[in-house]
Amino acid sequence: MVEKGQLAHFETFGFLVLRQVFSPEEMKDIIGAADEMWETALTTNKKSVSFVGGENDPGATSFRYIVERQPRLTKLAEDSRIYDVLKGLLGSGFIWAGSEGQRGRVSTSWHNDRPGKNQNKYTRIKVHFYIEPTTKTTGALRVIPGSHRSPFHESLEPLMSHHIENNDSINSDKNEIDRVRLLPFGVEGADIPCFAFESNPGDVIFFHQNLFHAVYGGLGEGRRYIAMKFAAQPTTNEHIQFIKAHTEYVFHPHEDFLNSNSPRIRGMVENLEALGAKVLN
Amino acid sequence: MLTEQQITQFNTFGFLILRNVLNAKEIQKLNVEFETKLTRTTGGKSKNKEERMSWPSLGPDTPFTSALLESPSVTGIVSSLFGDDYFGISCNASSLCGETNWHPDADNLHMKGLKVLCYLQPLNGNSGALRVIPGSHINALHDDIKSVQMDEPKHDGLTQLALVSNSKSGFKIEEIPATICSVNPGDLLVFDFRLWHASKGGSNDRRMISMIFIKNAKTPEEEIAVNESVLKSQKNRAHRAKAAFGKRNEQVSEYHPNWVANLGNNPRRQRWINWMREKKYF
Repeated sequence: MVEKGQLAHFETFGFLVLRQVFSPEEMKDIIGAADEMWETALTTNKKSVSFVGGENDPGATSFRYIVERQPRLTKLAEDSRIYDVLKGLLGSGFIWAGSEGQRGRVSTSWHNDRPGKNQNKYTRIKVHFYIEPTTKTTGALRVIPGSHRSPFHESLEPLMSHHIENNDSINSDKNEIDRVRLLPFGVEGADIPCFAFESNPGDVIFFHQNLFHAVYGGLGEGRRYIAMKFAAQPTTNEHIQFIKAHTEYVFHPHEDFLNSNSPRIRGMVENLEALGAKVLN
Repeated sequence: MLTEQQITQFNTFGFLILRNVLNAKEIQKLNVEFETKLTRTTGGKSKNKEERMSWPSLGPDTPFTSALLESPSVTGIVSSLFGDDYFGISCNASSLCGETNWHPDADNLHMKGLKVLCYLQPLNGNSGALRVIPGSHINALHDDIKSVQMDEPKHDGLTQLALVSNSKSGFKIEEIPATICSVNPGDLLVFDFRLWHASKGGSNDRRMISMIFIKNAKTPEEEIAVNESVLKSQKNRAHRAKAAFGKRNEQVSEYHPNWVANLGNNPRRQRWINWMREKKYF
């Protein structure tokens, strides 16, 4: 259930923060389940693992299907505290769009997850749980409020271009003046005006995937998060094309979800293969 | 004076912070003039009073503050953003206290104006620094914010645009996602009239110099917006100045006759005065 004020907040700013959704005891179980997956990921699920830390942390990994493969995490996808909020934000019939679990010292420059013309007209939401406390200067997710909506969204395109071309690695062969000149808006990414989602374990953020977001700051030993992705029920060919453009794997949900005993889980995935087949044909 | 990137930054996010524009000596001069004026307010210094005080600073008793409005440090910023077709219409000093709820200074999006602020003490998010919603000077964000319920604000003569929650279930000032504009003395904070802004956590007697510039209207819609803004701001500032100085029979006109006389025959100031006279500022 999402309150009217929360819906307005999400529609206006592109995200919603809920504090202490999960108790310390629940978080302990979630963290334990996630750690089990991370520890075994490279041996048992190598194909689902990507290395995402670059020079910063070569061992940093992102594990796809972390929620689908771990029953103790799967229940997060149908937990009413998450599910009902998503129903309020996305409407009935929303679909599952995958999960990931990231671990390590990973910073990422300003970007939105679903770039492309009109992509922001179709609502897709990412739900993040951070396992360690985060602050603005220690790896908290930063967002530019309202940047999922046009024309503000388009005016931030220089950030997206910079992210794609450099992923924040500034050409070291350029002098300082040229380096700064090439920065979007002439400032370092960490100085772009934003809101930082400073969080403690148990807090949850739901954000529109066209919202510009980034992570900066010292990451110490690294941080861990679990993310689940959802999308509004696709009702047009354009929606299906939008999904196909970035996340064709959505049309091939994990078998554990297709075969789930949970009506909520099955409801989010059971029509996806047929939808994907329609597009491909 | 601003780089192309700074101009783009301002146009995109609606504000800009320029560091170390004024040096320590200049800040000290501003402080001396501020302190002198403050001791002459009703009831003495406001440090122990929860009362905002504001007074015009274009008179001969605040020469350095008065000159700031036309100084190259400030007009260079404004010219970069507005070209040369603008008017400098106000230089006020304020002793602030408490918090200020979310609001834009202009709701009509045809209004092209900006404020340049100089705070005389360091400020951060816990001590009353201005907080802004980047990009909220234009739609869709500007108008969308009005649908977000906020806790009942403390009124300060500001037009109430936010959706007020009568049941205290709205978002508090600090719960609205914003950028905190932490500053040190010497920094200048420039923001678009239409940008939503607020402050939280400030102690009494936060000292600020604010200068207002309006871009010359080019269209009928802009002309209407300017006229609305002129009327509203005159009432607000006159009310505050009278509250601060009225009981002591001080002259509370915003524009000192000496400044309006323009004895130095400054052509730019004369242009401003001609326009303000036309708009019935005095």
